Amino acid sequence: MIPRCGRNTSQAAMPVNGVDLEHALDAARDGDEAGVALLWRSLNPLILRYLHIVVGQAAEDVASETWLLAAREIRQFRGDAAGFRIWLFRVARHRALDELRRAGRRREDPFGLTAEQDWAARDDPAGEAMEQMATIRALRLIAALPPDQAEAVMLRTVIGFDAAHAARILGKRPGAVRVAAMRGLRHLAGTLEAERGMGVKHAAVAPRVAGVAE
Amino acid sequence: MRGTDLEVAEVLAAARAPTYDQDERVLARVLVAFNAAGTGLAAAPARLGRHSGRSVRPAAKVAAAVALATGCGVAVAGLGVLPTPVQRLAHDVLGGVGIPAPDKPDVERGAGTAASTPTSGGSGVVSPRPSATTAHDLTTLCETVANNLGDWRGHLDASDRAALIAAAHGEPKVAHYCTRLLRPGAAKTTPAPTPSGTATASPSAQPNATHGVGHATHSPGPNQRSSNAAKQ
Repeated sequence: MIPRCGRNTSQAAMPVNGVDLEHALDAARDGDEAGVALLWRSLNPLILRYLHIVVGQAAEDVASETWLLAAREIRQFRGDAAGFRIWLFRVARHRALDELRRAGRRREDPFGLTAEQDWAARDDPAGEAMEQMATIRALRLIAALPPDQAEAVMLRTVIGFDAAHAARILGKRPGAVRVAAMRGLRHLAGTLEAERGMGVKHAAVAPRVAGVAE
Repeated sequence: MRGTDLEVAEVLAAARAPTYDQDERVLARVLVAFNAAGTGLAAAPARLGRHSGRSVRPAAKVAAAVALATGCGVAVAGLGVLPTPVQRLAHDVLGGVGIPAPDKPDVERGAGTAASTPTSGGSGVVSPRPSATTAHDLTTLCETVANNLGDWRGHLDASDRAALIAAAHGEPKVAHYCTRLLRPGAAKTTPAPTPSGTATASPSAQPNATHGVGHATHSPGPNQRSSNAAKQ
């Protein structure tokens, strides 16, 4: 059964950072590289975060491979922006799993020892440094979850896919993805509670906290 | 426990924080690949399997050379769909048996390789077939494809196949090309009326989830979109 990428109004179809991905996708299909650039700038950060959870330090390479393939195939893509987003994550995931098999390992430190250097500061070096540390810590916490839970948490609560779309990316049933995400969040809560019990202090996390998605 | 929930929410918010700086050099490479694909330079399937984008072109060259060295190479070259350098080589070596040059316009390829100059005199000689590369004829060819998705090749003669493949920039793209051409309101063409439903019968470029976690050797790609496409 071939899944279809029909029109929908779910989270996957929502603009990313206010960018209208539908127009960007249409432009890319028509051969306009500005459309590709817009898609890349909008979706690559999400792809990278997801890949850091799945494949650790190889995330950048895998993301590059993913986009190179997408660039070659995008003219043939039929479907809407939501479908493209799902397709892109699926390509990324498959490439990541290939990479893991090649390297004979599961994810490691999701950022490596020197990756913090890549997080360039801008206007508020101190504030950005704190925020980046919080993000790194958050991703490390998620990466420390069992793999299926980590991926479900990332796709559902960080990237923002609904259960059905996350399930298509992961090749699972939506119910299984919901369960994995829920367990992942519980696991995460347990980890945080244990850290609190041990008096572990971390950088303050971003104040613009949204609710925890189910 | 509410405090822990809040912490979890904070962790998730931190994970979402848009602080990742992107390497624009990657974007530059992506755009190069995109433009190359648009010009047909990347006509080979963009499969990132074991070679994973590292060196697809050398592999394609070797494959083309092997194909040329075998009988099927002649057939493929006859269609004029090999990469330009290889097609030129094939033309130089095998031009006598009708292998077209790579830079011939589609019209010439579509009209076959009979090396006949269209007779313009009123000698009553059979006039050449209309060029297969007009929008109308391509539409007709695409209708044939749409009506015979499983074995459209068998329903087109060699010159029509070549014209269609050239217009689509590669055989794997024929189905998609025809889908676009037959789509109501398709731009730049004047498609003939299409049989109802034919436009949607062609494969779509959606992801194909036929393999799961344990079978990720092939990236899901638009070209894997349906069994129909795979068989074409």
